[in-house]
Amino acid sequence: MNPASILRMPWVISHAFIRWLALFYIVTCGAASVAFSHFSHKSDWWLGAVLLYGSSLVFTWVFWLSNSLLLAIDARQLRLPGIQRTLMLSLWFYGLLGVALPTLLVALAGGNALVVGELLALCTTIGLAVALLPRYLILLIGFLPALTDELEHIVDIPSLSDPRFVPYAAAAVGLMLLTIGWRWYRLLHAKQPYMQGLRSALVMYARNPSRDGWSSWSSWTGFTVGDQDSSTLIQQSPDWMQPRADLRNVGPRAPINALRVALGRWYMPQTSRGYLIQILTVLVSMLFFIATMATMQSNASPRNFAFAILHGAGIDFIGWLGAMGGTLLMATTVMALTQRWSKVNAELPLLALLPGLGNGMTLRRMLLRAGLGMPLAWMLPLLLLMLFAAWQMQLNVLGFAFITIAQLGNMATMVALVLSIFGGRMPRAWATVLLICGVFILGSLSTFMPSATMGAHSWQFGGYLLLAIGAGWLAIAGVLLWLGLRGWRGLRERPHPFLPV
Amino acid sequence: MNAMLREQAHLPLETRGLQHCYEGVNVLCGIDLALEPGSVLGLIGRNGAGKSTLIRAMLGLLVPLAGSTQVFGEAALKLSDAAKARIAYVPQQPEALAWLTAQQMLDYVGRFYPQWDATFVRTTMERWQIQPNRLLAKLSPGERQRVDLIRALASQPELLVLDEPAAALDPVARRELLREVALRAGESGTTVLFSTHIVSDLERVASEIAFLHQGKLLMHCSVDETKERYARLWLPGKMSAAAPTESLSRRRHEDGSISLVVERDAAGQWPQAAGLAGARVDALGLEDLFVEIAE
Repeated sequence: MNPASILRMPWVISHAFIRWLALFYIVTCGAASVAFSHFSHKSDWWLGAVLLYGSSLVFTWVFWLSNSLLLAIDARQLRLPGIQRTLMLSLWFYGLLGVALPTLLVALAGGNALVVGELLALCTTIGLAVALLPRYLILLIGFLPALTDELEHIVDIPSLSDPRFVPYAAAAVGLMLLTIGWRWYRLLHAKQPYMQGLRSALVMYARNPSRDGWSSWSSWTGFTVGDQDSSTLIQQSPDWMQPRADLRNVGPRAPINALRVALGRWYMPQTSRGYLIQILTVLVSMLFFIATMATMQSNASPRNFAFAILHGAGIDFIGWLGAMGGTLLMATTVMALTQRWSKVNAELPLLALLPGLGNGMTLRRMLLRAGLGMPLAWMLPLLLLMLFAAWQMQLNVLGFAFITIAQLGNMATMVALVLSIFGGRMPRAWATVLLICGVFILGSLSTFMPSATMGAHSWQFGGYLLLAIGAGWLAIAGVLLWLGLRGWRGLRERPHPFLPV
Repeated sequence: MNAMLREQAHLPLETRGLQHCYEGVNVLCGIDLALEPGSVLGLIGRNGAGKSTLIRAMLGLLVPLAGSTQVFGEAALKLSDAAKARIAYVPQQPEALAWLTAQQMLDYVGRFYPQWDATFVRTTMERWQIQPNRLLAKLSPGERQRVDLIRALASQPELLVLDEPAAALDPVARRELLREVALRAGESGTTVLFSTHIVSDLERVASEIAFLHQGKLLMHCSVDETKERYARLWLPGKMSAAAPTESLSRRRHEDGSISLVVERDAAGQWPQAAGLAGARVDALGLEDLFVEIAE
């Protein structure tokens, strides 16, 4: 062990993609914080800057530096000496550096050093704790806004200007450190530390091997349904969640259904019981979010709780479902098919040599119908739900148009990327991630901005913002058209569609 | 009649000038290989020699950089349903259809093959102790490989291609598989191509052997012929200059002596150097031959 190995440790614990993403994020937020401090004329100028930088600290510790645990586990399993100590020293060094350096700068500029230091220490420890805690607890983060609102009525949470903030925050940091220590020890000494599932730590999802970083990032972001190895996914699911195939109408006479079976998971025709369990699983998980929004609404109008649940939460939920659900469906489909088309020992050779599926353009059309039919069949009701929500919210024509564009954008992205996969012309992983992120951001803005920028409380530059969103969609449409045509050409030119990407 | 003659003229598998590379590294360097009907060809080579790539290219599962492959006279990349029905392929560590149970997978695949042998499926599942209602994802790698072998054999193929079929099997299952392969080849005239590291497997069932090394096919002959045709020529240091220029491998020892794997010429003679005083020709078993060349 030497100082160089301590300094180098973050460079060896994670995939380059995550590392560069975190570095980019931290540098961008750091620069934004400096700019914010420079241009802000408020007395508490430092607060915004610290929160900006703090968000990048959380990101860095959740997605990057927490990977130290994986190396620690591997080192322990392989009985490698000295690594644990180097890792610990490295974590403490970068933890203190990330807090001390900005605190010093803010203090020199006249900010409240103690509060800043504690806030940044909280960001650091919360980030690492989130990565180490079980995933089911992470799901509850969705409740935090509502929980904070509720707690404010019960517990007196001191504000930043309150002198009691310092001991409260110090206690919170101490609690987080204890949590981290406990979870680190448990995971390090677990008999099967690599098992994944709702009870496993979030950081375990960074273990997915990938040459391009796509898998590791998608795992981190939770889009693991399609991307994760199918066998692993099934092994980790409890028996009641296992797929239940219905093979009654499958075979050479029903080739599309046969292809759906080969595409697997949610493409697969299932028994009524299988579908019911899937729908119930989705609905129950959505109840968390409905309850969160209902609670937030009930705070706004406590006397009208029932109405808040039925109307406010319902409409909010539909809005959320439309904005997130469409992108999630698109991303999940793309990742599932990317996985299928990258494995050379799974479904591809089987399909390529399976007689009875036909050849030429007929086979290609059937594959497209199998690959696109199901996700589009789910996306269409989502669009209708969104339009219903827009009607309930009495949005104007522009609002309707933007919501429709957002959903069509998700559909078009999925079609273009699926064509790229089948045609063997998949863009690079970073470009795909960038495209999906772009569509998600534009989709969210298109869903929520028209209602915020128009009407009685319209924003001053709302019109310009909508114009910018429209321009963004035009640019995306150009990219999608190019991708789609390229994929279609590739699909037509390939000798058969079951060749790996 | 003409159609039958035409069909008989087509080899089950024939490849010419196959070339492929991954990330700029050549994996296949102009491979020519043909399988006679009813032959059992064992493809042997070290890890990364290009065996799986060769098999996949020969079956049209990847587009090679250059060269062509014909399966039953059809271009491998554009096989008709009729040709596909005559082929069965088991990849290394098969992972297909993890979301189906073993029984469901065999039932699903069986619907596509006109000569599917359901009785073979049932009896072999029982004999190999595969739980039919377990999801494939929950089976061990060995069990999964066995299910895939059942899938391949139940279609009663004329061409059976197995990529490292015994890799995950225990000795009992391995022996059963080899027996089944020999039986298919002997009784039904099934042509078999299988890759392996296990030389004893080759000796047990293969009628021909092809040795792939660094993307090149170094030898292709019958198993019996290897013992007659190849040998190790040892020359003392002072005679090393007389060593033949063409050999399958060449190794110089610390004492200056030299070992070469040499081949008989068309007249059945060893290279001239073998006749020199002090030179020694050692017969090589298949495993020794493999190690000598691969090292």
